[in-house]
Amino acid sequence: MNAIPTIPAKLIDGYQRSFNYLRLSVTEACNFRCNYCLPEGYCPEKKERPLNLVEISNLVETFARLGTRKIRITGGEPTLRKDIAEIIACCKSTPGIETVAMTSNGYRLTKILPQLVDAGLDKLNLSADSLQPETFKLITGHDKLAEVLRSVDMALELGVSAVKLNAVLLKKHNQFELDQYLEFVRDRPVSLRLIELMRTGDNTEFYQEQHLSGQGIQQQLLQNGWALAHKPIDAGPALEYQHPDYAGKLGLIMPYSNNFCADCNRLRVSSEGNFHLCLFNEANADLRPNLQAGMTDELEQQLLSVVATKWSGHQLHQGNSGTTQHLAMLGG
Amino acid sequence: MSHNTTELLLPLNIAVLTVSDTRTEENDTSGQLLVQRLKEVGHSLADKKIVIDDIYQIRAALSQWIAQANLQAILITGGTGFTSRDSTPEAVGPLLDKTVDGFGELFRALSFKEISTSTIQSRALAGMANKTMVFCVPGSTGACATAWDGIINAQLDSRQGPCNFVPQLKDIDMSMCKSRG
Repeated sequence: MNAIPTIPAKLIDGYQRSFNYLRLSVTEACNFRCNYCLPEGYCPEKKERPLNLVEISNLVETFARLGTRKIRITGGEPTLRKDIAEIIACCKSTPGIETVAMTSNGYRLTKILPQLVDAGLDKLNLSADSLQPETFKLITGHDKLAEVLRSVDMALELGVSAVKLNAVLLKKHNQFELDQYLEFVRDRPVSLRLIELMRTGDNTEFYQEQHLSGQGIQQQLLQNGWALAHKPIDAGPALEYQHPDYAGKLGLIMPYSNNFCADCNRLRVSSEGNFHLCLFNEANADLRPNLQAGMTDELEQQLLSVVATKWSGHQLHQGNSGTTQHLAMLGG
Repeated sequence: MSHNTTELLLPLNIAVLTVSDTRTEENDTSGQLLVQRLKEVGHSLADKKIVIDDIYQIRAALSQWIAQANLQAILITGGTGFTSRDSTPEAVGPLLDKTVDGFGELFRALSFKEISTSTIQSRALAGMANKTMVFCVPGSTGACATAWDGIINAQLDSRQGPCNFVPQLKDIDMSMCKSRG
């Protein structure tokens, strides 16, 4: 697949940002009840009609033709789909797609990860919002920390090329856990991601109680010999730090910091085929009619015209989180 | 379940202070025991310090933690005896809003079973300041185990009925456990 020459990125917005990275949600459903996302669990207003494998194939092929090289499969929880291995295989076999990544809560991975790696999964993101089992249970509603951490080690053993462990910074739950997280990556080549809590339509009060800035952590890291690492072109928005005594890295994702959006490289498609230019956008475009009909030329034109309207930055500073009610909608 | 207890443990952020003229992080076995015990239960260690037997240094460390948001309990080991240097009760007493007299009484009752009448030399005490629980226990590692296992563990456990101290501590939301589990 990689034998063909790299396709130049054609998805370019009015700010000359080009997009080679697609985040594709394959279901909105999630079996966790994380208190910052879906505290009462996933309760859909109407039955979800997620994209089927043919529609996904049409979508990925079209994005690839427009220069997309990396796809991250998100949810909800993507492993709740029975055809998750087929979805990965479909993305991986699409000409132009070099990297297939997935974000998962880890619930089923100890059982199915080998199968997903066989299907072509290159990179994996897992979440542990606390390394204390009791706190993990309180945040997620599930006593599954040990399984998540086992999945991390399993992914390393299976040769997944990049394993990340995400944690949302929560003032009441994990603000004193930095040492534990650092200890976790001392001998594991894992990229830890500490992510500032983002405001959504549903969580205003929670946000006010729990938001913790990453700047204090940034200072602690610098004082303790951590240095900013070089950032590859298709990397995410994290500021990544490394230290000679640690096998792993530590990344900070601070959406409220200056210039966070300036090097945005990603586009998003929801599980029902809505095209989102930003996690926190008002407008989106329904790709489904073209996907269903297999009208990939029309789809290409649609993507090109919509992407040109992408705005320069999110409006979280103005308290505006767009139509994003909760993060499960687009997988964060 | 009454509103004083929860079904799941609400993990707390707890700081540990060792008061000693001689201990260092390497040989602070009593401080380390408390750290290990609180982590085993599922609480988080918010901070750990060692200060010498000096009432002003003790008060400086303690005051900072009492004022800090999201820090619910402080465990102090050392300085509760009768030698001329022992001054933890004198340092801590004036900072407390309320004393928990039952803590010293119960601690000495438990300790009596282990070391007989020698326990009357312990001036172990506890109290609350700015909705932060402060427990002062002796410097001996055995006494720390007695105090944690016999009293503190249960009283900092939100599941403990008929009552525990957790609902009265700062930045605690007992409803956090709803829809969990």
